Amino acid sequence: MARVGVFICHCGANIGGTINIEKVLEAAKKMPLVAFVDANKYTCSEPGQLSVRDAIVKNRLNRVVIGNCSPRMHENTFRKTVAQAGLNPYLLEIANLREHCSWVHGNNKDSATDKAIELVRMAVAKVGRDEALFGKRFGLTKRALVIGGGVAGIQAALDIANAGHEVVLVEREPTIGGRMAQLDKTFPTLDCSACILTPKMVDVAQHPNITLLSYAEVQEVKGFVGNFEVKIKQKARYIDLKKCTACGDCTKECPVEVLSDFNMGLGKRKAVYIPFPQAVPNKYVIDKRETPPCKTACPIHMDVQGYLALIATGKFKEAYELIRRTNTLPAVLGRVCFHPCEQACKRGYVDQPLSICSLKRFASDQYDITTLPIPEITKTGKKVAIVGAGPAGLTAAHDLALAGHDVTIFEALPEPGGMVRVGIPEYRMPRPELKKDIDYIQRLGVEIRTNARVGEKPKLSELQKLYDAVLMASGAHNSLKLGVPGEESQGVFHGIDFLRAVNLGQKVEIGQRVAVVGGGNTAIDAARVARRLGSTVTIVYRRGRDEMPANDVEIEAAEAEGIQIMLLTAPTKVIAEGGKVKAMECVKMRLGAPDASGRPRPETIPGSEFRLEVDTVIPALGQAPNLSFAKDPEIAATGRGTVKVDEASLATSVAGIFACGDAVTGPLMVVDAMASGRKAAASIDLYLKGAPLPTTPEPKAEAKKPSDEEIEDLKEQHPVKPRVKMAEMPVDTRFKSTSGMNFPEVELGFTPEQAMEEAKRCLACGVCSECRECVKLCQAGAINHDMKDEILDYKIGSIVVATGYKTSDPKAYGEYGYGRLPDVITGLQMERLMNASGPTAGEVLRPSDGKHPHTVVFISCVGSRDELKGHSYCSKFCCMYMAKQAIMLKEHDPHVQCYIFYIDIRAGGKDFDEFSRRAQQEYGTLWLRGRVSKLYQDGDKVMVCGEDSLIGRPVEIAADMVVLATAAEANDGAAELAQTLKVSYDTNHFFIEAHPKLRPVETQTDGIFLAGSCVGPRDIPESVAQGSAAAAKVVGLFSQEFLTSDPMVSAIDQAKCSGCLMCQEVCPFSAIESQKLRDGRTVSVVNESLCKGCGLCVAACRFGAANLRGFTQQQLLAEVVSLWQ
Amino acid sequence: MVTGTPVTPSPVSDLRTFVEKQSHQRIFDCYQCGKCSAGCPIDYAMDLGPRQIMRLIQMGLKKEVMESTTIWLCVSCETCSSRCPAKIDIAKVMESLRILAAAEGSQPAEKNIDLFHRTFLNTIRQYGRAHEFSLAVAYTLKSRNLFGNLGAAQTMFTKGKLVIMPPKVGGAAWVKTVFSKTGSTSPDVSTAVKTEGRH
Amino acid sequence: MSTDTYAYYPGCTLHATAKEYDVSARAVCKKMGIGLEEIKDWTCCGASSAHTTNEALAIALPARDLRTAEKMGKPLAVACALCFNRLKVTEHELAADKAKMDAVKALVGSDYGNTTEVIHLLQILYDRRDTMVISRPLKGLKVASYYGCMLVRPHEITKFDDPENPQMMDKLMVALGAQPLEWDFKTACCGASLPLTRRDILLKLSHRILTQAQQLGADCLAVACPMCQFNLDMYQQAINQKFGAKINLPILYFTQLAGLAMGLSPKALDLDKHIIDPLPVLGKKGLT
Repeated sequence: MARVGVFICHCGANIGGTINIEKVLEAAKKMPLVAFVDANKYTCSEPGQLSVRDAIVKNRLNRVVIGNCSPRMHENTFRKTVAQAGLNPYLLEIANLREHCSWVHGNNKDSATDKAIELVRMAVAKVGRDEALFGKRFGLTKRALVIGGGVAGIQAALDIANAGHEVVLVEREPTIGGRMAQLDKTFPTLDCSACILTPKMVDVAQHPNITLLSYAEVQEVKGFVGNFEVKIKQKARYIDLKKCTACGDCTKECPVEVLSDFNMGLGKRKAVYIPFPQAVPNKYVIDKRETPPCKTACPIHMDVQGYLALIATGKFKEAYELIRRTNTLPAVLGRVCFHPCEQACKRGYVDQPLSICSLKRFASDQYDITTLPIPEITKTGKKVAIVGAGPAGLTAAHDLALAGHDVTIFEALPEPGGMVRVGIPEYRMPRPELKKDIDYIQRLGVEIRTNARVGEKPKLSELQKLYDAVLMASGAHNSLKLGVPGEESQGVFHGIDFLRAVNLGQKVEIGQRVAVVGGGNTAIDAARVARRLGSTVTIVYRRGRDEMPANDVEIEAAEAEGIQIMLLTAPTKVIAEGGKVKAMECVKMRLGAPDASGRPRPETIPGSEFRLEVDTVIPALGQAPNLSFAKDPEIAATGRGTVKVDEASLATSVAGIFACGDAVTGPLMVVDAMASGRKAAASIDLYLKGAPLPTTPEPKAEAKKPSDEEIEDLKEQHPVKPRVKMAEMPVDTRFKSTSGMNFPEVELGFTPEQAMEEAKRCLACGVCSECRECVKLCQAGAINHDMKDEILDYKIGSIVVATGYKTSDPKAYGEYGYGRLPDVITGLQMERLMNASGPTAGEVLRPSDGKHPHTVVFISCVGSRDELKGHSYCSKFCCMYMAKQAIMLKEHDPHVQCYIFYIDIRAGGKDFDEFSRRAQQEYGTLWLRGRVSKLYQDGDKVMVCGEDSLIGRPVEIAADMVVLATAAEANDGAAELAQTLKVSYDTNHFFIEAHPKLRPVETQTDGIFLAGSCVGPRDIPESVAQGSAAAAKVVGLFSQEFLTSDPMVSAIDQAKCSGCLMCQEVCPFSAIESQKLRDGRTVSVVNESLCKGCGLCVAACRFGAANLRGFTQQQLLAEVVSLWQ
Repeated sequence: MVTGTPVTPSPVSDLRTFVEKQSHQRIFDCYQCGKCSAGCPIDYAMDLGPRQIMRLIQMGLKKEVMESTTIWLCVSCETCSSRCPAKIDIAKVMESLRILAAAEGSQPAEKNIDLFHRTFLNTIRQYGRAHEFSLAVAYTLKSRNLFGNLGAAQTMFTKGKLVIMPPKVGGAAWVKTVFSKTGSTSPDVSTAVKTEGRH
Repeated sequence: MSTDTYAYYPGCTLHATAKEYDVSARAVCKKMGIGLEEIKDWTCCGASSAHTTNEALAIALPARDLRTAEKMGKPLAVACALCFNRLKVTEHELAADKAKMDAVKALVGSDYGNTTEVIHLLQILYDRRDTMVISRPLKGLKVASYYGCMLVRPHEITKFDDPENPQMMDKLMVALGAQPLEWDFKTACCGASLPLTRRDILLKLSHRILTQAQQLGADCLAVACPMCQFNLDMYQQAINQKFGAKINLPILYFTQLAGLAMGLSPKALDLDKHIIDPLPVLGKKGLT
């Protein structure tokens, strides 16, 4: 039988002043189950609690209702009280007579009293149905995680570690120290910030209990107090912390410079850098962002940004060596590449892409390849035969030779080089340049047998016997036919045959008037060669100009050389007399709907036939492979007449025989063929080692187009600077053959000056250019450019969040012109200017002209106390640091006069107000009460328009420099972190304390604590105090061997559960798991340690299976029903 | 600056009530940072800055507000409003004060500006559109400032920019009725003229 | 940037002191194939005077013109910045306050729905700047774009560009081949409606704007507001006298510069209507 005791608290006058307690007691007496009533002036006081305890014992009460303040305030207090009297602490109900009644109904005492009675009645009804509840015990991991290595985090970490517990300190930046490390002096004592902070930083680094993870971020947090499971992302630093000695050699040759973020954008730093001399860990870091689009787009992924950066700094030799890392034919690709890198180049969205291709050529022009050393090669004794000495075969040969295999190339033509040699005319690809690249491959030990047509001599089967592996890189040398009558007449030369003949120096009899059919590069080449042989040339193409596959540069060059291009025209027949070409009949075309290739389909215009008087026709419609040699053994082919291969490994149908290049794909670009050759070489190497071949083809990397916003930013940051034009041979001189060459090269290459100027246009998209100069310089061998991000797992018992703050971006204030007016800076930038380790080594010089400022104006509340453009709150420490900077500026230079525009001087704190006044008393700073409304540039001065509201007159000051005291904002990613940790944050993304006064460093989530400015703007002493406070909380938690869970969690009645798992979906704490019963049913089960008792599952459960202990439906119903009894 | 004997602030005042109702601005949101006065291009010429007007309304000191030149010199350039950290449209507050002055027929501290506006509206009332020539003539006569504007008029004339004949517009009649319906009967300029010599 | 014909509201001054604005606006739009249909029997918007004394009137006057445009079913192109401002304010107030809307319906007609889209000419040209055919690029002409107050403020109502550092006119000037100046007085007040009443103030404010532009080496100012143009042009000599300055800066409407770049003749753009003759400086740059 329940015996309920009701205790009403006057709470001084808080409740008693409004509510008629006597009436409440009277009413309570009459309520069912109530065995005892009493009132107290302050029930929470010691005598108050004592009287409750005595009453319970004396009157054998087994249920208690207390009418007092909010349960958030004292529920726990009274749980303990009743427990001490021997009751289960959960047989207690609180009727909130203060926040819910007396405080809000002070103006109407009678109805307040009535409401109080109802509240008590409900509590009584509920307590009658309360059940004894017991929490569960569980163990805990005594290891703390501190997120954020600012002064608050450092303090917390040290205190916890000193108490003998393990700490993992995670810092996002490459060094700990946070904002305090950026400051010059600290107010009000003017201690040097670094001097007092760095010893603590060193302690962290050396403390045996602390694991410091810098350049790392918390990625995932699972579990619950005492038993968190945390995933931490260790960002690749590209520097081995164990090996790096911080000697700084790596920075010496780094060609990349970016604005220093540690110096708030004042001054520059290298791509490999250390934020500041006393950084902890005292190690360098390489700043690598995205993979540059040029590198991604390149089929052989060359380090484009790298060799550009090296060329820009005049390191031509190094540039060439870097090119060599990935490119076996630099002289070739420097000329005839279709350079997809340039299409992807981000500079192209600002003005024009860089001339990457020509710069590559420049580098190879500068280098004497005969001096290129041969690396150490350890022989494997394996032999590989390669069919075809084109770009694909040569590249494969090069790689296989370096891998230690003996390579022999069989080339059908008298000269190696494949299409590059016989397809591309000499004026684009001079023979000596090609030969240089090939010679080097031969120096690697590759044997090239020319005039060796595989299939005739030797047979493919013989190669199969004599060699451990065979690679078919035979290219695509068969011309496609026109397919019109008269094609076999004398005077018809097929494009590629024609070019081959000319390129091999054979005599070709072409006529005076030549028609070239086609719009690809081969057509243009054929046309320009024919032009050089002295003919007048017309190109006939069936589609429009935009549809021509040839490079625009080539087309333009052809026109420049007087070649006529007849668009939308197709040949219908070759008219011959006596077997000799007399003319070509053509028909006009029009463009119709797009075809499979996406290009508009050309349609003939009936009756538009006409006659083109020519004596030579050169069809250049493309090429196909010739696989006649691959009959024995029979190599499977595709329907398109190319070799059938396995996508991933390039293995053919016959084991040990591989294929690559045009033979596999049909006509490709040179660089694609090389990529294919490289891939084949890799497979063959694996095959020869007996290792398994790759089974899944690596996905094709696409360089993604930047977003419109990014493009806008790029345009903002980079003034237009068009590409440097390369000198070309004047048209009239192009056709005379000169020394050794029938046709001299048209493009003359960059001069060193031009090359460096052009290379300087690079936007350094990846920041680090991967030029690898640092690797050469690092004695310790600490640099590894191939490092990858790592995920580290930790078991954690408790977490301290100390993610700090950042300063707001004053660009929101157009009237202050920050970013436009060079001498308008932020407070944090001024700290860096005053700091000895800053960009000006502590000498305060203004950004515009490096002069010493004499008149300096400070503007407070930029972003603070501003509903319109900033935050409603006060940033708290700005007044003080403005005073400090004013004082320091005067210390630096007695000629300085400072003015501080303030709204209210916020100087609450020990010795703060004295300090702020000292700025005026001793250092002559003038405090002006008012907000500045406008800054504008007037000559070399910044005009400051404000009001002094104390005299009520406008004030104008001609300043040398203006400092904006920008607001303190929650750090980037604070909200995301809060979500990961499942703790609450406010609209300004500051973390919310469990109670602003009584639980300032706790969160609503057990085991997660807060310290420093992540809760709101805090100065250094407060942050340090909070760090220690949070540490105390953690240590307190760790002092227990077991933790007890709150029993007020939800429970599932398995009998009622239908297994719909709706509860699982709605649970924000993923506290509900599903379980299979022996009878085969699936039901939900609550993980009591994760459950926070929010009750969402109860609301979601359609079957009434879910119930919240301490708030069961029966209990709540009883409360409601009691209202009309 | 406001000078004189000690004042008794009345935070709840008819003045504030009227202004808040008329302008839909919350006067007590102002915390006197002074950005309005600092940015006001005309502040220097005003006897009280916009910030001080806001303060006086907060304190309910109507006389000082209504006698200030501020409310007349304000040209509604909105600079103050566009920068107010408390999101108060101060220009709208000034507007409401002019409306109050008009309603109460109180003596404008800048009589010529008041006169100008009245005369301007008068021409609209007459022709349906503004007509600079008759505006200039009427204003010049009434303000007794005969020579001030002659130079301008002359140049305008030579540039063929001065249209002598007032416009004939279909909407003119409608405008007249609207004037009467909205309670702007023939603007009484005499008050403005009579008050000469104040200052 | 949708329609290519607009209802057109020139505003009172464009039929008198700002004739050249009207002329050049029409010429340029014709050249660009933008139709401007002047709305019938339009009446004054009340300018700065109405809303300083009588709110109801200040709303009713523009509402009538908005209704006329609404009936034409076309967006309303406005040239005068002050009119633009008043029309926008009216649109805004009526949308926000049903009582006002009802009162206005009673005056302008119950069928009025406050659906007219009000757009300033500068916006129209700006949106089409990439499609302009520039036959006479304004090479080497240093232009200080001056937006004044009425276009950009109050921002939440006019929704026009950035009130502190607007860019539209500057970007338009770039499209025209001119060189816009980065300066801090784009939206500073010129003295507005004070020329007849407190000229001393007007002279001081305009003087500061003009000297700034002069120091930065501007060849001329580009404006979008007749009131600004009048003040800065008409009183330049007075300013020179009062402050002993030597300023000689033509004050041109952006429409005139656009017309010039599109190859229209100075005559067709009324370039002879200015007090400060722009022809000498334009001539020097070979733009006449």
